[in-house]
Amino acid sequence: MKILIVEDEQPLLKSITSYFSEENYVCEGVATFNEAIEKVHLYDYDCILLDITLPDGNGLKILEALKAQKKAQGVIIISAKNSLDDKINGLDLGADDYLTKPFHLSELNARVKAVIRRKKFDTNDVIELGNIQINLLQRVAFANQTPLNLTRKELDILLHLIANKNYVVSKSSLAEQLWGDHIDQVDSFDFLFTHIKNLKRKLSGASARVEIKTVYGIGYQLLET
Amino acid sequence: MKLLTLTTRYYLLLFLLILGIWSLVFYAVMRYEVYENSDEILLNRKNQVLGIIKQSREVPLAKDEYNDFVIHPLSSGLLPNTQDMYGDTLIYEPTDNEFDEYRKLTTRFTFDKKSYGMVIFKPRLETTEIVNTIAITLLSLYAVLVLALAFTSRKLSKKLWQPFYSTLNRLREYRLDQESSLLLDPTRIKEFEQLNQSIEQLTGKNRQIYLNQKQFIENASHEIQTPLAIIQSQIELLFQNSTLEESQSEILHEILSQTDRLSKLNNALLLLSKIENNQFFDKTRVLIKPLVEKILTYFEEHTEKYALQVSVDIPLNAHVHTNPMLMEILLSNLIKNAFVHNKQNGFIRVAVIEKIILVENTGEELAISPDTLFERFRKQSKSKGALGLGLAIVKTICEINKWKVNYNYQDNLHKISVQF
Repeated sequence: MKILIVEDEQPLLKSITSYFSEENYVCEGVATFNEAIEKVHLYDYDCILLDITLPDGNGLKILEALKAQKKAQGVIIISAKNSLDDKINGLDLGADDYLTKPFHLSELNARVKAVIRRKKFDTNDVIELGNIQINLLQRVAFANQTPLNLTRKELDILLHLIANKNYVVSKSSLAEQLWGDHIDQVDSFDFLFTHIKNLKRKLSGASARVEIKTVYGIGYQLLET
Repeated sequence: MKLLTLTTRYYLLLFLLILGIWSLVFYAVMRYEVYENSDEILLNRKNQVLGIIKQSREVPLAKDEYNDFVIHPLSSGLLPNTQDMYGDTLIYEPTDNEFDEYRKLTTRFTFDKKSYGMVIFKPRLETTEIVNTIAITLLSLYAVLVLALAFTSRKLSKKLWQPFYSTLNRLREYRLDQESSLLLDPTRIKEFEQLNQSIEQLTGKNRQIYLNQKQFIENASHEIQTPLAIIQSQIELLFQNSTLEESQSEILHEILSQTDRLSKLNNALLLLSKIENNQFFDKTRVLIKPLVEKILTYFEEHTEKYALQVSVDIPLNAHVHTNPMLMEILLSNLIKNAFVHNKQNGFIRVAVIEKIILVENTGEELAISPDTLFERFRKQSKSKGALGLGLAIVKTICEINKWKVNYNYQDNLHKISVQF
């Protein structure tokens, strides 16, 4: 998988690049509009992460260029502005998703995977990992063909952990997945703990070949066994 | 009191004073004229009578009822004094049974070496009549003046003051945060034109300052997002490092949590300024019940943990015409509040009664004044995650929609109502 990251803030560019490198993605990072235009003309990518406020041009122009070339690559806009207009314009111009800074890398990773999956396997709504199968449309999960009977939130946790397989996913990131801004962190960590406990119980009960490891103080990590 | 009423009052007082003095002068002049006239008539009559005596060579001593003079002989020792004396007298008039005012002329004359005294009477215009005449004319003049002034002042206050009142109305309705700039109607009246110019300048300046500050908050919030994104991503990278000790992990996670919190705070501030900027202008018909039910799913764990009784009392077709995103934010904040400030085995009720959304919940009484409840950063709970902006956002959303939001504490229940 090849990913182009267009981001003018060097430290952010670096951390995104190194995070994705562990996924066996091939990452290319550029910090300016001109470099980005050059890259998208020359190469094809599976996904482009695009910061639209660049020092030498508007990232939306890159989207226009992609559209003109009829390149069907996934694009996720990363913006410091949580602006509805930008979002609508970006999605109109063919972007697949819109993420506002600051974001969790695990969240970005999950979104990148979702975009690639949609682009590559248009009709495939099933995620598989080990002996686990998740039907995204019906929102049901199976292990060894037996239904896991997960609650909505347990399924969301599992999906987020699978998208970030092998990564340590922070509690904050998971809490945001489940509740967004609706409830406060302090409570959500407690609730998250309960959900994870139940999820673990259901997974081991169905002898799923994954393990959710608790990383003390930080969060959780899903590993294949 | 209206300015024009006050000036009219002063004018009327002034008129009263002038007319009062005027009436005295008028009376004096009239009286002088009346006396002058009567005395002239008396003198003429005297000369006429003396002429008749000279001609007829006879003094008419007998008192004739219809005659207007009386002649009586004077004792011979007295020297004839030809000086005339004028005076006032009252004469009884039997026909109307009253005393009438007369002017009399007392004089002497010599005829056939005999001295005679003569008194001539003539009725004159009575003093009361003079006073009455003056009073009637002047009072009616005053009445006419009062009416004319009242009428013109009413007409004038409508016409002349119209630009003033239009300015006043515009000022009353003017909202620094909602309207562009204040444009007042031009007027021909110099003072009002100056007033309008000053007001336009003042509001213009204030608006500029307001916009600058708002812009500053927005820019600052945006600028903060990027460093936050960097911090957050670096910490997440560190998390992947398996050599971290537990104590280090804890510190890192605390940093991450605070970054999240800062970011939420920042987003809430941005949201507030966006609402105030009217950036959520798309309005549609928003059904309340499904929205509330969706929001409640975020609080399933709360409901379970605190054994809360949650009741939703909303008609299926209850709806508002507003921006769906703002409506969700509003309801979400109200409901979140009801959960956070609740107690074990408490209860929550979300209801829509006609055009009122009501959120009720059990919980301890407020420690802060209810009046300040909707202000920014007024926190009741010491909860670490609370930003203190939830109800400020609720209030701003209500303001932008011209809804009324109210809080009260009754029967151990917090009640917040939104009248839409």
